[in-house]
Amino acid sequence: MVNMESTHARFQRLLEPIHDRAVVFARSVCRSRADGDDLFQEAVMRAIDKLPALRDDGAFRFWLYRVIISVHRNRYRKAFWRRLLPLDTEPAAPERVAEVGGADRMRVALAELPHDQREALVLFEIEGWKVEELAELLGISGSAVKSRLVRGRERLRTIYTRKFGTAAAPQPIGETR
Amino acid sequence: MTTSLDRMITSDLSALEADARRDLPEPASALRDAGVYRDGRAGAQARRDQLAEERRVQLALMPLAIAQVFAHRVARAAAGTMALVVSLGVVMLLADPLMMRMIAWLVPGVGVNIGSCLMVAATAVLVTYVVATWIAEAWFTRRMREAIETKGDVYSDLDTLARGPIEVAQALVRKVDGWSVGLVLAGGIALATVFGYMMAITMSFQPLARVLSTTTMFAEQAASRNLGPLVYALVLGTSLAVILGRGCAREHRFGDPTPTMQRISHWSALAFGGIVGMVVAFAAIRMVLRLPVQLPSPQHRYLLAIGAEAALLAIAGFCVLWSRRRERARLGD
Repeated sequence: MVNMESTHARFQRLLEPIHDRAVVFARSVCRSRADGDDLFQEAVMRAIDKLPALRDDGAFRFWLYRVIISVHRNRYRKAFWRRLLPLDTEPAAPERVAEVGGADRMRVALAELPHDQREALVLFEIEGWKVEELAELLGISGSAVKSRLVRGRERLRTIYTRKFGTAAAPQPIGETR
Repeated sequence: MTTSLDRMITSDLSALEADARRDLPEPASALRDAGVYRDGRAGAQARRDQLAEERRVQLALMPLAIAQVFAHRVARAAAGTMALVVSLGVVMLLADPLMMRMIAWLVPGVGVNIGSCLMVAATAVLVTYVVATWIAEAWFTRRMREAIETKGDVYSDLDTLARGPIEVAQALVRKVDGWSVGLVLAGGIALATVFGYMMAITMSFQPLARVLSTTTMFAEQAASRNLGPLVYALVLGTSLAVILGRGCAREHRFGDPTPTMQRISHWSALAFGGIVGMVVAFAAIRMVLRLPVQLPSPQHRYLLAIGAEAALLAIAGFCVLWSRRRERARLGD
């Protein structure tokens, strides 16, 4: 019991400075806010369970994000055999999503990206992580991170053009066609 | 147009961030929910059972091509290693009279010639290939069983099951790819070089019909003073094969083939190998025919060795990489 309490206290101390950002990350990579909260909760449970194995408190931030990413991939990974046998159908309704707000539109588009590109994009664009930090977190080289970001952004453009068309794009002030 | 789309994406990303920041929970609530209101273990157990079931279905539906490609890659690597060992054995036979005496002592009455060496080499390589295929298939089956196995610890099971059998299998197949390409090339090139060299030397003092059956080359150590170019060619060929094998392994890590691989995969490598091979064969035959009147200079011999290795590597490398491309297409890799 004493051990458990000290683990919780240590976890709380480490989590507090990065809690908000981690929740934002979890909410951003999921298809809805509720899913994001659920993901974060599950990641916290997993992290508390594994916390005694973490020796260096300074590495907590990267470690927690890795746990979130791992839990997220496990939950939403589309199995190889499912791609061969399309048993489930995605609830896609382009004419409906064109009417919703920017956040929902982005969620729909992000959901179509592969996990690696989605995570890299969210961390870079929303969380403001640097390329070097992303490389360390994802265990890849800096150039691989950059290529992931570029490909993700390109894919987002394609999805936007396909799903929402040009009509959905707000016309910036002063710009003429 | 692109600019307005980019602005829209940037503004939507900001909107997503703002939406995600709304009603953020207190840090303490995360711990409270994790400790008191939620029983993590029961949920984890249910998830584990569901995941295990999913992984079993996945294994049942796994394409057979993955197991076959794995077994053949391992077998090729083993056969290549055996070919390399046999080639080194033959070089030692050529170089050291003690080895010949040992063989005469172990198998009395058998005259060692190129034909018998060729037979031993072919049998050893073939047997290794077959046995390695069996072992690889058995090992792969056991590894797949382990990938869907559940034990006592729920969280450890979840970690194990996080990677499905297909991912494990594909990782294994990728892991042996570089070894299979490098070793099969090194072994094949080494065998071709050693036997080609022996036949070229034998042809210079024996009629063509007796090349495979004559024992004088081994008995009189005819090639022992002339091993420099052979060893040089073997080292060169093996090094280039290793570079190509490493390139294949690197391709899995970084996604792009190395420049060496790109050059050898191109059809022009085949043409290059063919032309260089013909030039080398012509020069070797000319050298053999003129041997009674003129000994070739060391530079000439080393140049022939380099040319032969370049031709062998270009042709064999192209074939191996072409077969690898077909394998990857089967795997959908």
